[in-house]
Amino acid sequence: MTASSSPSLRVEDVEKVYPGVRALAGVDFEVDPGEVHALLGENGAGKSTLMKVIAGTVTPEAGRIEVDGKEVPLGSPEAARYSGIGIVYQELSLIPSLSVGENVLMGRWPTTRGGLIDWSRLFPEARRHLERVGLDTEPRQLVRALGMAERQQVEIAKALSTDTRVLLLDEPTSALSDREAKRLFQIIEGLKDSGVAIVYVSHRLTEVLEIADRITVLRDGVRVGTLSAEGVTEAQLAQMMIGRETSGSPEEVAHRQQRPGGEDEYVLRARGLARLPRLKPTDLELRAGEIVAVFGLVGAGRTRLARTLFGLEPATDGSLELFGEETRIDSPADAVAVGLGYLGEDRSAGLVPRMSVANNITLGSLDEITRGPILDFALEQQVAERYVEDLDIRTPSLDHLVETLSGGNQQKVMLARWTCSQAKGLILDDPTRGIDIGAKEEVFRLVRRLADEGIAILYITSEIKEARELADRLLVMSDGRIIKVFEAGTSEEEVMAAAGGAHG
Amino acid sequence: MAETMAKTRKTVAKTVTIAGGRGGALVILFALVVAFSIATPDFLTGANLVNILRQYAVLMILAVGQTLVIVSRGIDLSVAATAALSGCVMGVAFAHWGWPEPVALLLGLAAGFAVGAFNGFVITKWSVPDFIATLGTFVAVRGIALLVTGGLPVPDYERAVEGRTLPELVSTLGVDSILGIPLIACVALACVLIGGLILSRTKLGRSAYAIGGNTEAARMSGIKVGRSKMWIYIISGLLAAVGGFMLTGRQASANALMGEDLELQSIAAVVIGGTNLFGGEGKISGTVIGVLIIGVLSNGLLILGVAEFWQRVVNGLIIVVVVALDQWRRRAASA
Repeated sequence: MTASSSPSLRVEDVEKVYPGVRALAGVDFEVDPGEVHALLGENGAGKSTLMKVIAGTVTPEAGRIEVDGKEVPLGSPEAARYSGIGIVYQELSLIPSLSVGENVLMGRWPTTRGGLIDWSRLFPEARRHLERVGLDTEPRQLVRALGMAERQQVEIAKALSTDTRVLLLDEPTSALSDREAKRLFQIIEGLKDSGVAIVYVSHRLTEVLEIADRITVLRDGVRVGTLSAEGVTEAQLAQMMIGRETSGSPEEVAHRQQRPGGEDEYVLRARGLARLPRLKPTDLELRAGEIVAVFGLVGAGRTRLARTLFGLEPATDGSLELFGEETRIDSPADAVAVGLGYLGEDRSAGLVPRMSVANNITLGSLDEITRGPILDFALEQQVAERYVEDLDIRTPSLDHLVETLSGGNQQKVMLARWTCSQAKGLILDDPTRGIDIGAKEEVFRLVRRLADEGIAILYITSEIKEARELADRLLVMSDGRIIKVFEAGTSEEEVMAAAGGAHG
Repeated sequence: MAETMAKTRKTVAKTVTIAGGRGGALVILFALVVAFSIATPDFLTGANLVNILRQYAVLMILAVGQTLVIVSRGIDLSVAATAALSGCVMGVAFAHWGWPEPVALLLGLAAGFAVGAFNGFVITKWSVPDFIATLGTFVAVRGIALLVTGGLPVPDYERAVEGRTLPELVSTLGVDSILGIPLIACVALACVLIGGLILSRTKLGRSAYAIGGNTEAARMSGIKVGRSKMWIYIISGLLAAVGGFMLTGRQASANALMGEDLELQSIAAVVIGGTNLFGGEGKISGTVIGVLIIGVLSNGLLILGVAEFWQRVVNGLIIVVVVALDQWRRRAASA
């Protein structure tokens, strides 16, 4: 395991061009046996493309890949797997209706001489692979019954089951709780010891510094640099990623607390709103121009609250007032009609991928661009253009399919939809999830600006820092109810104690 | 180097796009016309082209409704049965019951509306998958048509009111021509224009694309998904009714089993025309070309004396080939 002598994975001069974008411009990259090498970069920096090139699902224009000194044919997932490259994608690729064992050995099930699947060999073999990632689940169990973290472990076991020398992990913690992430890191440590080379893609700096031995930063398809994880600070990495100093530190934000008037203009007031058993009776008030953060651990009922307010899971009990008027919201259409907007955890759930940017923006306000029964295309373009400029959405044109935009820009398209529909209250459920620092800051700025323009914002988040940075008030949820309300400026420790306390 | 390659790739993708999707269907249509013109002098004559228009007008009308449905990620297997029911109801009301012409026509349209509304209701309120719901109505509606007609052709001269056959409007539009153009083709054109307008320029049409492209996103943006789907199925039912009138007029008679296979042909035409069978993408103009491809192919093969059984084989294969080409184009464009 002499690190410098022969790397497990060597990537040389990889070039990949998409129409209009150079996704990778001559990237070099190496991983030694037993090393965790992190790939850092903003969305659109080329991390995912590089991963896909290594895994063989994307064919580069030029370049060379070697595993243990042997060249790997480009653009063939089979060849990559055969050469010892395993990949765990962000969206797991397990089949929920099959057993854990069948999934681990997917497509390589041992058979009897008659050609039937040999269960008596399949399950023990699967169990061996599962043990390697520290999972003692019964291999006969269906994947459907497992939680996210366990599924990921199964996925890793599956990736390792083919004598894998190089393991690619794409944003592996994005769906995990902190505790589950810790567990994952232990597994990774174990794999390191057995000499597996690990490529770790992430945009979470803290986590990368914790787990990685070396870090390579990509920006706009170019390798900005590779450095040892020792002695590097988050700030340095962030600067490499976005190519400038980060702004929006908490101190700067603190100045923003005063809002123009409207102190008692309630946009939304809920009394005893509930959807049992997951959402217990809840009181909530949102004033115009106010940002209220909702913080809670996974399973605390935050998302439930958001979905109930927006009519995705209509309330079973309680009352709701909008602008002082009693209202019922039984469907998103009701919510939109009274001036609410919703931006879910999962961006892709809100956008129509194969519709243009313009069409996606106006989707919440079709009535406004309709003249008589007919859509006014010229007006639509005008309106869309205004919001594209206003929110600085980076798109080659209004007619570009929204699926071609980066995550941050897609998020902005969603925000544009609701500003376009003149929403007076916005429910944002973890809007910065899965987007990188640069885009995150931009979303923050936008959220603040929208609040300054008088929109009431309910900001749901799992990061205390975010909640403290943005909010005028901070609600802490646990076990389906709001257990505590803090004013701005409360310390992280206090908030965390409140959120975790109820769990005991 | 890489740039040149990318450029070449782009050009290739573009060419394939033109030769692939809707444009590709146009190329295939053109190729078919040229091939048949060379193969037989009887194909490219005014009389034969008019004949094609006359014969495939009904399919065109049904395919317009089918396009709306498929764009919104649905499928309507009941269109042909609905056409038959509407034709029969209209004919029975006019000829057998002796009702006034406008009332008979309205009743026929009401039958189409009712089937569409029933489809929409079952699909949106009872969450029955589109395929199953319309498969059910397809079977049931043929049954209702048999009940209405007693299994006999309409008008049945023994049961008809003295001197009554079919409403004059239906006979005229089904049979007559103006300046050599069959009126039935004009009706089809009107349906195409209305359908195209609805799909591309109304809120309902836009909703159809959104629902087909991502139902959850459509719902979250405030679109009333259930109501939109309901209306789309109703429009499909109404167009089927019009198609049923035209079929009745052209044959000077209606029967419960007429228009057999038209539901499958309409789906084929829509898909050949470049509409994504899984919703979200497609245009009426593509469907027009799809119908013409089916029409020209069948007509040409018939003139060439290819046995009808073989025509079915060819018709089936063309669907597979065109969609395969389309898939290949999509891959090439996204690679």
